[in-house]
Amino acid sequence: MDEAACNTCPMGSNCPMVCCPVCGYTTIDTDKTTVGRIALNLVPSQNPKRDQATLSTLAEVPKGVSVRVVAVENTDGSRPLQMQAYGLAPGRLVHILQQEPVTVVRADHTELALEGDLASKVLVEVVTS
Amino acid sequence: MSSECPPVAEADGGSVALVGHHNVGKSLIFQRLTGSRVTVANYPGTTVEVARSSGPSALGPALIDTPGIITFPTRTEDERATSRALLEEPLRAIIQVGDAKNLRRTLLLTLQLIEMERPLLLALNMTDEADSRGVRVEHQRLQKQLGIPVVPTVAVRGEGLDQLGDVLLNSAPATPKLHYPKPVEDTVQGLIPLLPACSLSARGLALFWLSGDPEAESWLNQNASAHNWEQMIASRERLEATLGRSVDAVIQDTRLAYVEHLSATVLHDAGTQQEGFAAWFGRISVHPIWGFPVLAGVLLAVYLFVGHFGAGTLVDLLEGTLFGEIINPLVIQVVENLSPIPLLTEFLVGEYGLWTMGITYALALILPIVATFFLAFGVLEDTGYLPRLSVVTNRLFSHMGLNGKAVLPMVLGLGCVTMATMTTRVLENRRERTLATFLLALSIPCSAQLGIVMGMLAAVSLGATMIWGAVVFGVMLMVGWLAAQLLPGSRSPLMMELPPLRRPVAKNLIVKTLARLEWYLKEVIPLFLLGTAILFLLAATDILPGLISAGTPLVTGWLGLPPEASEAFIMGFLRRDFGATGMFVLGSEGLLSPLQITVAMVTITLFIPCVATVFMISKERGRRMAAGMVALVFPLAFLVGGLLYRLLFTLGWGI
Repeated sequence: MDEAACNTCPMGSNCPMVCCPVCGYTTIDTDKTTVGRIALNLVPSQNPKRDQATLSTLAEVPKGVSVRVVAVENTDGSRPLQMQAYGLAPGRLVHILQQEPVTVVRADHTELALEGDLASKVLVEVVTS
Repeated sequence: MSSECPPVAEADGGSVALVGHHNVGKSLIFQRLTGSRVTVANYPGTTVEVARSSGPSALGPALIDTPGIITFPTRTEDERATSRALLEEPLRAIIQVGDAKNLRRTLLLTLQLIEMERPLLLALNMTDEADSRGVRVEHQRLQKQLGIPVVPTVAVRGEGLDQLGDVLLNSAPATPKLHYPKPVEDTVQGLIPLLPACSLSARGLALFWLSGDPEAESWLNQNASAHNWEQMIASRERLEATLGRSVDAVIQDTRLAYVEHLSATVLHDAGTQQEGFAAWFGRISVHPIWGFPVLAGVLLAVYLFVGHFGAGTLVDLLEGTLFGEIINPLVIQVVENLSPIPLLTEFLVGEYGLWTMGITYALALILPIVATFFLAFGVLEDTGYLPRLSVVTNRLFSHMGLNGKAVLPMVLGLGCVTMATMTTRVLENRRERTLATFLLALSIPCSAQLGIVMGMLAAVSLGATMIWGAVVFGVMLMVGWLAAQLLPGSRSPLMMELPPLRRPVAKNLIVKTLARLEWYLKEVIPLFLLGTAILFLLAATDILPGLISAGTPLVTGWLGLPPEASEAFIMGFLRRDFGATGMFVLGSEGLLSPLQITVAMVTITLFIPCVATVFMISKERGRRMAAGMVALVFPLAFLVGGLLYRLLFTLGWGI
């Protein structure tokens, strides 16, 4: 975090907000505020509508369909690296086995169960077999 | 020359590390090569420590078995132990155990291990499963392309294992053939002179660090000079600025492309899927609807085996007949004759005697229950059912800030909470480990206690059992939800491999159960004996009656139980089943009404865990956390018990 942004802010640097010094976007640091964290969890978030082009995510494909992975969204940490290591890598063929209670797919001969949150990070295109 | 790692002593010493993914048969191969007892498991995280062969193995040098990993960089506490082993062990060679039917996944790891430039052997295991799915790997060709020996094996049948020793020890260090984009290679060259010495080659270590491994990061931070470390960080920042992406992603992309190139030449996959009963059962066990009846059926089977056969039949045999009628009278007589001091006699075979209470309960009551539990759990592991259990229970756990992976410690807790606390290591972040440990301490009854609790409740009515179940479960959910809101950090969503369902091999199952029993006897029983000794001391010094009367206002006034119940609670801290048994004795003397029994059982279940578990929590999570949990659980248990008492009393139930 850029300390310069906090220095000029009247709130000082101990408030639980995280502010981008470039564009000014603010959000809360959930590690610093209990109330904020609870509120964030309780209030449902609005998911932005995505352009319904030819690409969908792994979470949206109905069961029984085969897809080819296009890309894995770059989220934080080593999660995308692990997903790719399991076989959800660009160019690979993946078969959807079920979407409830979690997403279960097959890549090569590995069956992988993953929650919708993670599955929605994998961009795929449907393969018409 | 100064830029190279000093070579590991060729003649003696050093160790061979077994590395590989979860569920590939690594631990089984370890066991076959060393002959020692080791747990062989299908569910990630059961090899919680790095298991080591004592002395030389069939291969020559000592063999170490590492926890399964998905790839480097590693994530969980468990997986990081593998990174640590590679960094700190005097590595003579590495054996990677890979799944023959998932060649691409296997090769991704192989490439990473080759870069470390130690002699490497790839054991392609489970070739029988590959064959039945129409997967064929040209291992000779692969061997030539990789430059390392590739040996097909079927570990469950012991095929191919005898070759491993000769092949490995005659092989030269692996030479990497993969080159990364120029900016990466240039940076790596620049890093080499800055790196401290270790078994891995300097280039391998540099790439290991650049691919984002957290263990490599902390190891280098500690072992490199401060000046070098600063330069390394600056180097990495410059590289990422040049690439415009994080370097770990670029490295993995390069490796993935090379894996595709390799697979195209040596892998022939007919794409046949598994058929038959195992495949069908695998599908319905995670079905959104049928998964639940399957779960209920499995739980019922386990309950019948452990609860009725183990806690009933076996315990009656051992406690009643063997110890009660044969062994104990003999021991008591011998000690009474030989012991010079009455106090010593009392200490050994008296009411709180080391033998009559401690050892008898340990061997006659706890051992058969825990043994049947470990056997049942071993079946669940070896068939591969546990990951599917995670899928079905995932939504439930998500309400408590956890995910389906928590099912492993929770279910193990029904056997022994002390052991389950250790297993929380498989959970991904500290928040989850803390949550799971807390819920284990609060609401999971261990098998020793469970048998007695269920027995007592069943003697009252089905209604009593249901009230108990609902209250304990409800408390777990509510407290779990609340704790999840209050603890910082976020929940990690479930991602887990579902290995194919397999028939368990009897020999492995028995070996594994015996190994667990050995662990149990060595680690937990001494703590139980300690508890008995403390109890003896309290009674002999007359402190015990004092403690009992001190607890009376709480136990009688708030919970509505007779004053004698106070003793059961104190004993319940030393040994959880003592608490339940104490109540059982009161109940069988006709001193407790159905209402009192139910309230007592609920409170006993929620009450603080036994001393062995508290020690384990201090070890795993720290003393402050252990103290904090005890401080929270104690009043919570009594609060719920008291409220339940008042509620049922008002409703006029069971008075």
